[in-house]
Amino acid sequence: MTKMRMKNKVLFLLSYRSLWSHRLRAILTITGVTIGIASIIFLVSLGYGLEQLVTNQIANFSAFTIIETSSSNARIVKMDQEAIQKISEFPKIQSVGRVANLAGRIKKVESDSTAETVIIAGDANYWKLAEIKPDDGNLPKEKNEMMINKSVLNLINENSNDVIGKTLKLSAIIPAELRQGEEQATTTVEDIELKVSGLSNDEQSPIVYLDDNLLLDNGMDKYSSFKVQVAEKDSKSIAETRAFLDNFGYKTDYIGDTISEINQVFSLFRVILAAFGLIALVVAALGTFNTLTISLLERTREVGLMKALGMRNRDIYKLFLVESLIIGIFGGIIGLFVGVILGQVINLVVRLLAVKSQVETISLFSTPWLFAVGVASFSIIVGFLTGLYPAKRAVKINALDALKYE
Amino acid sequence: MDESTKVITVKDVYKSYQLSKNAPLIPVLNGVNFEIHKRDFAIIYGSSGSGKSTILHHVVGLEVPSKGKIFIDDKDITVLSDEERGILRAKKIGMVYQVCYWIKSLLVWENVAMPLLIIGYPPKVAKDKAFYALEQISMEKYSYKYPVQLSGGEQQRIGLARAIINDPEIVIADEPTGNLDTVSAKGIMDYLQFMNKRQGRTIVMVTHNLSYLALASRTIAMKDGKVVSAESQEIQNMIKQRQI
Ligand SMILES: Nc1ncnc2c1ncn2[C@@H]1O[C@H](COP(=O)(O)OP(=O)(O)O)[C@@H](O)[C@H]1O
Ligand SMILES: [Mg+2]
Repeated sequence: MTKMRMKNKVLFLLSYRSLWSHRLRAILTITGVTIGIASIIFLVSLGYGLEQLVTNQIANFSAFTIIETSSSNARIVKMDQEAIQKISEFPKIQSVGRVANLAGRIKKVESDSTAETVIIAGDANYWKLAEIKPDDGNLPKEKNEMMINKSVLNLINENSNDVIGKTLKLSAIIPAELRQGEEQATTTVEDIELKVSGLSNDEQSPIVYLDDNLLLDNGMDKYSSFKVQVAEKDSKSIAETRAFLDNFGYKTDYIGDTISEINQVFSLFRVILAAFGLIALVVAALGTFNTLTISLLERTREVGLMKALGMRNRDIYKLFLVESLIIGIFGGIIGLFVGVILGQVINLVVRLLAVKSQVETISLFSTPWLFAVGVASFSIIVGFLTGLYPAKRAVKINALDALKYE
Repeated sequence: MDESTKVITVKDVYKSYQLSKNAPLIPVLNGVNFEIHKRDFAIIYGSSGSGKSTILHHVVGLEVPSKGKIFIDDKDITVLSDEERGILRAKKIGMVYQVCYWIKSLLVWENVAMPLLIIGYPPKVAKDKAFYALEQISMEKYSYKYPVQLSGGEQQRIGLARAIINDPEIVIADEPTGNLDTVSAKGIMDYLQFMNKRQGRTIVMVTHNLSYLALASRTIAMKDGKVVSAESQEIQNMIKQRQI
């Protein structure tokens, strides 16, 4: 005589048959789980997609290759020619943009009324890295040139139509921090005559853009800050370059720091989206629980029969657990596909629309496969947990009570 | 072959039920004693409520006595666990009830194969055996139907096929013809006799139909939870009044 255990295959078939004998109920229950899983996948994929969209957009900025470098103590950590020389030797660094910010006064050659202005003295690299461009004319290329913005024009009552080519008088106040040597005093370069080479339309505070060499010739020795551009924008290059600069004692800022803050916002967003999906799944789990309980009540007599025929408790337990696992597995896998496909269909539609209206194509939905597999497994776990209680109750059924027909 | 081997021994079995926690005990079995030997065709009879079904439940191990012992092949089954009794039942005892119970989602042949599947037979082997058993009782044409689609008599026959699929030593039948017309009932009785005479199984049957007593090798009369003598005044009266 066999002393074997009931075959798992048989248990599975029994569960499957019992589920399938109430086709509509089984389909509705599995559909419930499918909707729950699909909505989690769909919503969280939207979260991932939007995050990718935003970070990709930002990552395309050239700003992403630039490390803002400054000194918190200009006397000790100097930002002079020598420093630029040393920094430029670092192989990861492609170029260094230098800038000095100072204050000054500007006036017309023939007039005595002056206007206060900000002076930005930089080199060609700086203009490029800071994306400073003239709206009219050119950036200052020679020592005797300058670019001014609209606010300056307004202050000195100049006309924007014929200002380019005109000569204006500028006084620059070079503060001690930008100067080297023993004296260390603020010095003012008075009334240099400069030709307006370009005009910027921005209307913030008045700004005069100068070639840095002009001030270097007039007593300025140091810069306010550097824009250091790295050759590659991978995080390793960035980190190494920052470490290199930090070693000099510089203070570094990088836009990527902001990105990781954005990432944090998005992971919170994803959690919120997932929570919405989770509500659907909880409802589905309740539905599954309900189905299993009804199925158990209907089959009290069958369980009694199986016990009378000698079926072991653990097999009865498995029977009900397998039923709820089947619901979880089917719901999970179908939900996974529905959720992913729904997102992809929307992606496709958006892409088609984008191509049609000739704008940049974007993907709104993105599903990391690890996340997808995780959610599907989660469905199976939920199925398992939902089945535990009905399975336990099935084991407790008394065969005789179940078989009494009076 | 030793024809007088004891297969079932019921020794001084008492059973009382308590419907709720503080309710009084209801005595149902009050010291039942009997022995059934190998190849017996035993018939238990007695008025309704005399404890016939209850004692059968004890014999198959679905109930445990409040007091007393029950032996199957010299093995005391009252000391076994529920699950051990289940295994014993699956291997040694076939059961038939007045009403047949089925797993509704399974086909006839699958229901017949169920006892084999429960003890771990591979589905293929179980299927072959089930079909063979159905052929034996000329019911193979119903193999792919669902049991509830069949008449009471047909169901009862299939129930018998299921009861002996495990080749059990003992077949327990509680009023198997109780709900059947005379023709169907005769078929069932013939089959039970076939199992007894040809297949050498020990049969224990409860019935209300006293004409079957003539077929029995052993009769057990019950009254008020006790085995009483067939000649006792009460039983004789009942027979006269056709109360059984
Ligand atoms: N689980 C139980 N709880 C309470 N009373 C029971 C239980 N099982 C049987 N009885 C009672 O025991 C008596 C005998 O029942 P039973 O063995 O079914 O009689 P029979 O089969 O001889 O007609 C009946 O009065 C019945 O109500
Ligand atoms: Mg009865």
